[in-house]
Amino acid sequence: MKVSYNWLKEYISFGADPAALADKLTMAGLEVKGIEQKGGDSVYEIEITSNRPDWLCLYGIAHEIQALYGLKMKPIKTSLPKASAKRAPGPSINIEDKKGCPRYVGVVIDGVQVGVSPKDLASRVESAGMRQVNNIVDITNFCMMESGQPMHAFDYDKLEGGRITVRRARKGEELVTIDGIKRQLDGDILVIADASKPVAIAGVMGGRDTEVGFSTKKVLLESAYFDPVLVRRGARKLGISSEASYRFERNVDICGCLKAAERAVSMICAARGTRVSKFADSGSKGPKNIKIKLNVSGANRILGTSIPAAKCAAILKGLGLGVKASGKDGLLVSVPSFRRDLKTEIDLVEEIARIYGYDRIPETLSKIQTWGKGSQKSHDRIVEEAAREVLTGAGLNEVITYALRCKDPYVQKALSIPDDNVLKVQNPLSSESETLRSALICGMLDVVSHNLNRKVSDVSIFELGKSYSCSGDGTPCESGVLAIALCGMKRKDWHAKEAADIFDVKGVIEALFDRLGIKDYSFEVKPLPLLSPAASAVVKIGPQQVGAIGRVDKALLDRFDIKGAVFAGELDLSAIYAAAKLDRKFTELPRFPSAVRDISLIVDDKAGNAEITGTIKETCGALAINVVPFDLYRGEQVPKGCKSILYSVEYRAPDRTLTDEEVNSLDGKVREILVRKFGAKIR
Amino acid sequence: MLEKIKAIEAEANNEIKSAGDSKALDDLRIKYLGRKGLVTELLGQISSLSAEEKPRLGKELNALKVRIDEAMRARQAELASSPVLPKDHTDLTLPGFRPPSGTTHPLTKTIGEILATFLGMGFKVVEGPEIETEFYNFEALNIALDHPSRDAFDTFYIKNRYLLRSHTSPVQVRFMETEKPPFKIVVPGKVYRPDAVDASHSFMFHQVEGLVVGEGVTFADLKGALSMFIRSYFGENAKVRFRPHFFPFTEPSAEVDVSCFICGGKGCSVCGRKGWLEILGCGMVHPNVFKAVKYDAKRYTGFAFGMGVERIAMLKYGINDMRLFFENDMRFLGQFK
Repeated sequence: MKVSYNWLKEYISFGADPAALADKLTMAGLEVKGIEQKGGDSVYEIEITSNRPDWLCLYGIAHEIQALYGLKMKPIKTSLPKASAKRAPGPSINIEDKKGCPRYVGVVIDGVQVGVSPKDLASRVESAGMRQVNNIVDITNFCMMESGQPMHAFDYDKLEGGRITVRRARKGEELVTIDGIKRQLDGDILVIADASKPVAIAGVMGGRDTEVGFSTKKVLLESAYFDPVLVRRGARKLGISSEASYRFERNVDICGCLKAAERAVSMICAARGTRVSKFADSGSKGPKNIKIKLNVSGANRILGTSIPAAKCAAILKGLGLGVKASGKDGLLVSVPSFRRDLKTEIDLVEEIARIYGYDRIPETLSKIQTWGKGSQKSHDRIVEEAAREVLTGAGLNEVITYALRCKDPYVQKALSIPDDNVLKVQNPLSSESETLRSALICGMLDVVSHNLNRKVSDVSIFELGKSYSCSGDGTPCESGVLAIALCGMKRKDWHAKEAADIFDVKGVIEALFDRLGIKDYSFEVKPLPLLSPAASAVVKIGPQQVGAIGRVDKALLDRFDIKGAVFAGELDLSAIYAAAKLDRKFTELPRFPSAVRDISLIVDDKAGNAEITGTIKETCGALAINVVPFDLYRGEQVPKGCKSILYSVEYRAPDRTLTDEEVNSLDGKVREILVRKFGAKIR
Repeated sequence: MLEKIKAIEAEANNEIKSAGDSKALDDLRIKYLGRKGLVTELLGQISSLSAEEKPRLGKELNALKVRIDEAMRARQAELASSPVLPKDHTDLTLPGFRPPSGTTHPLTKTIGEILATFLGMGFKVVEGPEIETEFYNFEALNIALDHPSRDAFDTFYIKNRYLLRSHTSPVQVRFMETEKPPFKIVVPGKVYRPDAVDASHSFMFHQVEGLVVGEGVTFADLKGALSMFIRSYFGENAKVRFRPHFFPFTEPSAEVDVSCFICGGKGCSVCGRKGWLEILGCGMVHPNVFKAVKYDAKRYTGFAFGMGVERIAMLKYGINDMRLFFENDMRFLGQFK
């Protein structure tokens, strides 16, 4: 809201210069966002919080200044023309919707001369950021800025039947508002109607056909209280926000309607030749002041202060509240209707703290002791932090991608996710962000593609994020996912150049499982959606499937315009949390030495490492403690469809040193079975 | 004799200069200063000189000995500082083999640093779901359905009245429903609001929330804890101010500003010429929130606070566009190792 420094001085005399006042107001909760110098005046841009409709006018801000500096406000002068017997009766007002419009004050002024406003009035209205219209409309705006009560002036002669009805609009009714737009109305919208049709949207905007213009002779002035919720809904439905609706939806002072109307009439009738009717005042005159008991030591206990009762009372009085002592330690506070935001004791505590000054409240450290009440971090969080360590240590960069994405029927179909399982946002910003992701892979590929397009060709990334789905009964679910993607070179220097590979994804996951104490994991080779059938596997912990790794299928990469190979993996975090064992126990180091035998063989390509290793271990029982493949080779010197591979087998017994004979005999058995089972040729 | 001395000196200097290693220098030492060395030999001839020449040339020869010795030492030092490389030497000016090293995301890093201060003060880290209900996101937090205060919490809705949380505060409610005071918690997490993406807005962003509840928790405690956080995060010279503000779920409420660390409070484009940067919102837990979780508001008081992680990271690292966080350019991420 724009507030003129000079204008404020009409309601209260104070010494603070514009900068000092701005600072004082800011530190009281009226944040001055900017100060504009305008012809000898300073105009503040103040951010008014939504709980303080009483600050949406200069008189309200003057109240604040009164409390802050301990000053006394000047009353607003209203001089109405003397009542005479001849005074015309007020307009006929019928409130059909009493909930929507608890009070309506109307008055008719005859003999007005509509013209351009005098300079003083115009400059006041403009200082508040409103454009000047004509003297009558400008007076209503001036009064709104002064007291916070929005008012509307109708051209009385244009109101059919010369009467006003406040009612809900009927379906099919229309109104061209003063901005020239035709509005379709319905039963959710409160309107002011004449004998036959709506002439204004209550509390939001008047109609074009009944607005006051230069030919207007008779004015009907409206000063009413409209229900905040109804005004808000109506304004939102019609897509209008006006100075009036802004105030009504935040609540105006129902007790102030008549006073505001009188003030406006006194300004309009300052011109010669005007005659004013009686004031028609329909509906409630507003509620009584509410009473709140304040316990002073209770207030100080919450604030951590020791503000004396007398100081509290002075602060509250300064804000325009009624204050009486009540008991030894209490104040009975009477809250007038312009401060409807004050409902309970805590509201008064805030007022005291605000005016006393937050900066005067000491800084202390809470005595709450929480040590020993369990770990400060959850197991899951510790697992995630460990995962970050392993993955960044392996050279991967953490990414964060949007959880909201465009619909992707291709991926959805590939993963056989039914439509009902995809969570959609009902009010998306755009189609680019209308669904919650079912998997992280697309976000990862976005990152790869973004980087490749900028000639950054080596991308090693991971994300710890969530995927979302909808269960059969319509309950939305979210579950943690670790996603990994690698592309380009993993090593590129003057000595060596090595491209990223699916075994890097696998290796990182193995290292992660090591770090998390997960032992019984395995990788089961299997064709999987979105991955190349030539390189994809399911990740398992025990019998449970916890994720997948593989080379991303070319068809999917094409959709992201990615040329090279991308290797990816996704793991279900809930399974990882459950399997992770972070406690470590020391195991006695082996007391006896081990012996190693290498076996070099040529074997059919179809014989997998898992099978060969398994066979060796089975043959030797617990004595083969390590079986490690080396020097895998295919090509010249090896028959087609075969591979050459070396297995290094480490033997050890827990209770004795194995003799050469024992080891050689085991080695012999292993060689024999490899030949028998796999048709291997030993070299 | 004098000419001989000069000739020896010139020759010695030449040879010393071209000596390639300490072995060569040792040989030269023997050649000139050794028992049968050239200088020693001349000294031996002194006795055969005339009485008046003897002292002059003796002096001259001793000086020569010292000069040769000095020249050798100097050459020795020179050789020591630029040793001759052996044939199989390694060109250590080539870049080293760096072990792979990735980085956590700057937002993760920022969250971690924020949490660290509070962990040090005994807070516990708690997390909660991103998909929420209106009850947890609004009602239990004293946010009225049809009030303008809700405008600040524009929200993405999913079906069946579920929504994407627009702040991390619902976790406060969930925590209080199951736990009893006293406690101190911090809650990091993603939140969502329908804000079109630009340099300073995003429909997805991160917050860190905090809540302390117990008997006798005061506004002064709130000031103490947050001032401590700000000084530990932004430096001990950071000035802090608490400005009254409005939030439906706290009362009294405040916004906290830190003195602009770009301009030192003088006013610059980052702080909008105000000298202050708005960092977080906070306040004493509203009694209605306690009512919603069935806490005795007469017995317990508490304070809560919340801050936007992106904003803090942008200020701390001098990042001028929020979109950079979610584009994940490797050249961007690589700066936060």
